[in-house]
Amino acid sequence: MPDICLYFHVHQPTRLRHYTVFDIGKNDNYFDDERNLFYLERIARKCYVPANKVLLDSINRFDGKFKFAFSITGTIIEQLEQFYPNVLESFRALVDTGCVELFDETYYHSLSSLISEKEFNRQVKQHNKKFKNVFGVRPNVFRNTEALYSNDIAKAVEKMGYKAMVCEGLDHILDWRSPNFVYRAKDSNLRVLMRNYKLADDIAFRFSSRDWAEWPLKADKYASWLSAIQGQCINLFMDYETFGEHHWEDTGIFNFLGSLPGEALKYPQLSFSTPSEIISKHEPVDEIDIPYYSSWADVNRDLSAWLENDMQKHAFEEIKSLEQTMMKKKNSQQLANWRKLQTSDHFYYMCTKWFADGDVHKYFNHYNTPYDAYLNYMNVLTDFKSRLK
Amino acid sequence: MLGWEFPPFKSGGLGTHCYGLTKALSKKDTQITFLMPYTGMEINPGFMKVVQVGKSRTRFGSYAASTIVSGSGKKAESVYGNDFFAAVEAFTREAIEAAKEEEFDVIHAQDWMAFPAGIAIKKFSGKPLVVSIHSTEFDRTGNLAPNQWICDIEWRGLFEANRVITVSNFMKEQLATRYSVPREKISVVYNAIEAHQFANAACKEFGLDEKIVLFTGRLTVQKGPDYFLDAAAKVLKKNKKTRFVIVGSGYMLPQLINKAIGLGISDHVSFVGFQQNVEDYYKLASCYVMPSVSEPFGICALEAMCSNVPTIVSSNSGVKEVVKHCFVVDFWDVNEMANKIIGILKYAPLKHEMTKNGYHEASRINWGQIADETLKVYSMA
Repeated sequence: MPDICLYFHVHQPTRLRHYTVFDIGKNDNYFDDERNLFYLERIARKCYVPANKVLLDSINRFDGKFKFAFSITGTIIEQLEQFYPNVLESFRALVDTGCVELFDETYYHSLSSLISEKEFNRQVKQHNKKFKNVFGVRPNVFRNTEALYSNDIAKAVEKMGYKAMVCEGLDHILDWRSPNFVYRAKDSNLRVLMRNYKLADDIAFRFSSRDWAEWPLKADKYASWLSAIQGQCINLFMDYETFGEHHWEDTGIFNFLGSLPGEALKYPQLSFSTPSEIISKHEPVDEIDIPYYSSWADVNRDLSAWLENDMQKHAFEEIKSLEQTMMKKKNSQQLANWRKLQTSDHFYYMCTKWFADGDVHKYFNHYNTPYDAYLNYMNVLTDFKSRLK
Repeated sequence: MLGWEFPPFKSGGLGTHCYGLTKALSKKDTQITFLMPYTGMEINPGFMKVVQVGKSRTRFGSYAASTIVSGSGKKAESVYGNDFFAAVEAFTREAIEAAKEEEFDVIHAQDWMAFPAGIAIKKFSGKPLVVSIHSTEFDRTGNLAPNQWICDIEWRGLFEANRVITVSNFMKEQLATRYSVPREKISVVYNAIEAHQFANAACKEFGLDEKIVLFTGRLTVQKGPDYFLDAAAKVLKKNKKTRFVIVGSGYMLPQLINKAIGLGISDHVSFVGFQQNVEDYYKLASCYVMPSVSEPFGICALEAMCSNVPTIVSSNSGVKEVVKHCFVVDFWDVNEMANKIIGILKYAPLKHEMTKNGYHEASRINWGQIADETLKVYSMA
């Protein structure tokens, strides 16, 4: 009798404006409001607004039987507050139904868990506070940026008081074990929810692919796959942009989302639960031991999407090395900028893996090449550093 | 095949292209006879028959140089003919006679100078004509003052040809819009280079504590050397230890020297003239810039990338369709050009990644693929 555990990740970065070497020393306005608004308008129109409506309808229709979870980064909340308060309101309406759980994470969708535990904690606290203010909620479950995970990160997360954390369902970690059970972090009480990447990516990646043998995927077929699963939980975690942006409306993705609850609930053994319900219902079956960093990004599922080539490593080391200075300065505007510069997307844009083939890295990417991304970032950072003196 | 130049006699990319293509084609069991105007040099590549038609040395010339070079160098005076149009007409007459002695299945004419001959040979032999167009009159004149007589020949060749080969989609669009060539008649076959030639080039020393930013190409409006100087002035405001080396000659040289003086950067700009061994200069460079106003392909960018030089190419170029590990910039946006040059000089990881990935990408492009695609076009003609 597995519980379906749906979780959608909502995020947009604060993109940098085109910043040349000639701007250094003259301009400390690093962010491109116009461009951010351009992407935000598109994502709100194509995804947030229609998807929120579909989900709210399902919640109302199934009278508390349809539940799911959201993570929403601080950077997207800020942008929605500024430009689309009514869209933020529609998220709030979903949370108010009591059928939607919220996850905490780093406010800036950052790689701060790789900077220091202190900085990581500070950004998580900031996010927690924001959720309290915006949604009146204090989450129990944690998701790190792009499901970044290691035993050490899990320990830090447990110390902050969270009960569970999200992790990619890595084959080499799970080995013979199934992702459809609750696990425990190594030497810890923290529960770990392993993403069922095969089933999740059927929706997130393959849904609109006409080369795929299962195309077109309809909710009844998908529900029948779910009904065949043995275990405690089916962890279907994905980016919220899956709906309307990765797969456009004309692929039938919203119909799929809207009819999935009904189709799944036709099976008596299936139900929807929030992650908190799942971990209180089920004891962990085993321990998850990941001594090195893993994530849900790309096929490598490690740090290489952000920290592989020399440009990425250099840019990250530079931003990381400023921690002491920033803590001494205590200038709130500079702190916010420093943290916005830690957002993982900036490093993702610098990725040279498969870049020439044109792949998912191009999505929402406003740079022509990873070299443009690095050059722009370093020009900004050079100016930022010069202002700390 | 009909062409205007062939190594060791060449003045630009066309000769290099003909060499690479014919060599790769002959490796694929293709018998080629190459007809070209008389040069006074011995040309025998060993893999095909080269017939130099006519007798007079003064008739030979490279179009781009001959119509515009006027006394800017002794070399130009002595080698390039003065009446270029008469030379094209003479080549046409003589090539027809030479072709009557040869057996062939396809006629392939390289650029407009060979088009009249190609058309005439098609008429008497009944064999299909393929024309390659490496640049148009619009490109060569920077869209400013195209010569109508040449445009007409280009149009006629494109019209008479059974198939048209061009070097990029950028060019294909130009041919479709400016010469009304049906898109389905045009095949895009990119350029390649002999990568090993550049990877092994010897390093030259300028002996200065300066980083070198390199421009190569004819000093004509098409290649945008003036934009290179504007960007240089902006770079030098931020970074004095930079030298801008300009390899190539052309009618703009005096005006460029004046411009460098006017910008107050003449101490940092070296005009080294036309050089046979450009690969030595690539080895010197920390950054290569191709700021062309209109560049049908831009083979120099591949050469630079194969020489481990981070490369900036004009957005009006064909080469950007085949390589991704380089910067692309609008030729007129000298601020951004300077920003990118400074970035490459300033941030070591940027130079390192562009060099490594650029080399890997450019050195994979080879003439074998180009020959295969060309043979495919022959079979369609």
